[in-house]
Amino acid sequence: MDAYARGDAAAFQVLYDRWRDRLFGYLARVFDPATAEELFQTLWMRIHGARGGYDRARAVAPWLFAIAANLRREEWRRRSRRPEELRPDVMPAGSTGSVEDSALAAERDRAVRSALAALPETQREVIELHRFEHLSFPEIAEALGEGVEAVKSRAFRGYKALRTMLMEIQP
Amino acid sequence: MTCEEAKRQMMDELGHASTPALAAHVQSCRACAADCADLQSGFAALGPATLHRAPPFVAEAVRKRILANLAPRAKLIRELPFDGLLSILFGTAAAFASLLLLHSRGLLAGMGPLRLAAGAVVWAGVFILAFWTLLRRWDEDPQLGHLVLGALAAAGLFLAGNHFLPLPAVVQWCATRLGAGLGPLFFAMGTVYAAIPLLLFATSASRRWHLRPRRVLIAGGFFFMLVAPAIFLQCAYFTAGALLAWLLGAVAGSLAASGAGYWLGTRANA
Repeated sequence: MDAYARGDAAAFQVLYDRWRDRLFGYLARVFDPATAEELFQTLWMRIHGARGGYDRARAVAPWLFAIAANLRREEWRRRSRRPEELRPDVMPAGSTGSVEDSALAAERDRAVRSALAALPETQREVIELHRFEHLSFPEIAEALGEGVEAVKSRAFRGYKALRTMLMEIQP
Repeated sequence: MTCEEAKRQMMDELGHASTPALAAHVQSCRACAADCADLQSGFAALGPATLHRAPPFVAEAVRKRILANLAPRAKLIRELPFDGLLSILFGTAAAFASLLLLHSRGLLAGMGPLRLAAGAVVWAGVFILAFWTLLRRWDEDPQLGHLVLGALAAAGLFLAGNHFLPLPAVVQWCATRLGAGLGPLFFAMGTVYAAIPLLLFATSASRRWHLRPRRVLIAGGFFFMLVAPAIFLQCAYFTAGALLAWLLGAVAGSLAASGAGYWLGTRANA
């Protein structure tokens, strides 16, 4: 990241190949494919524009996800001005993998998406960063600009709510 | 260990084996045991993360765009307005070819030189704008580049259709046979002539690009701007009402074809 920030194209390629699918997944999990693709392009342009301000003392993951989380929040705010778009997109978005072949897996995936979509955004973003992006709570707190205890508390409530919802959907 | 400490520890150890201290507390505290079970099952219920891959064409477009930005270029080359010069060249050539196409069919006959010059200048300006957007944004935003290219192609198709079956002649034929007014006929035929080429393009573009509706409308807007001078130039013999009806018909056709193309393309993808 440091080399990329100094303008090294090869370092950018390494960083991009490592993070692009994870960052796309972070967007595609809640938005429809077209929106996710558009936001993905905007996200990388923002990362590129902000690279000069990267602090080498910070880990890369929270820095990248901080930009991604801000972008997602902006999209939510934009949608909140248009109530008809407020509902999260729960259709599968550009996902690939062997689980797609299984109807059962697809049904489970839909149930998980619906349950996640039903959570408040503040809880959902913490759960996604923790469960799917494997960020630690201090890293999530750094990415979201919140305190570690506040983030843990949101995750606690979110996981408990998910458990209830998923038990209802898949008894 | 207190319950508060246990709760914090539970979160830190979520998805991993419990440490002996936490396990001992959970065994002796019913409330924490329930919380722990809820958390573990909520965590496990989410299952493995679905793997998402950025679509290759989008991923490569972003890569190219950033690499192009990182590439060291000589200042002189970077500052030369190649895009602008090429746009002027292509735009002027396209406008000249389009005028020639109309002229070869006698569709510019009887037109005053001032009107002809004004139409030609505006038309060249619109073509230059379209080519400039195409060349300037191709690397940075290939989707927009393809949309403008599609709008240019649709405008070409419109001109070709109008060349083989000139709209004013069709309107006059219909007016004679059906006795309908020129205004409604110009509107109806204008809608059809604009909608057909744009529909072909909008459907295939929506299918290929997973476009957002407003992006299809951008293409529709470019298409209308490109065909509007052709409409203006062909209406020398007709009243201002007929010109307005044709222009409105072209707007309606562009909007309808953009919407229908988006719907058809999206549906085909689904």
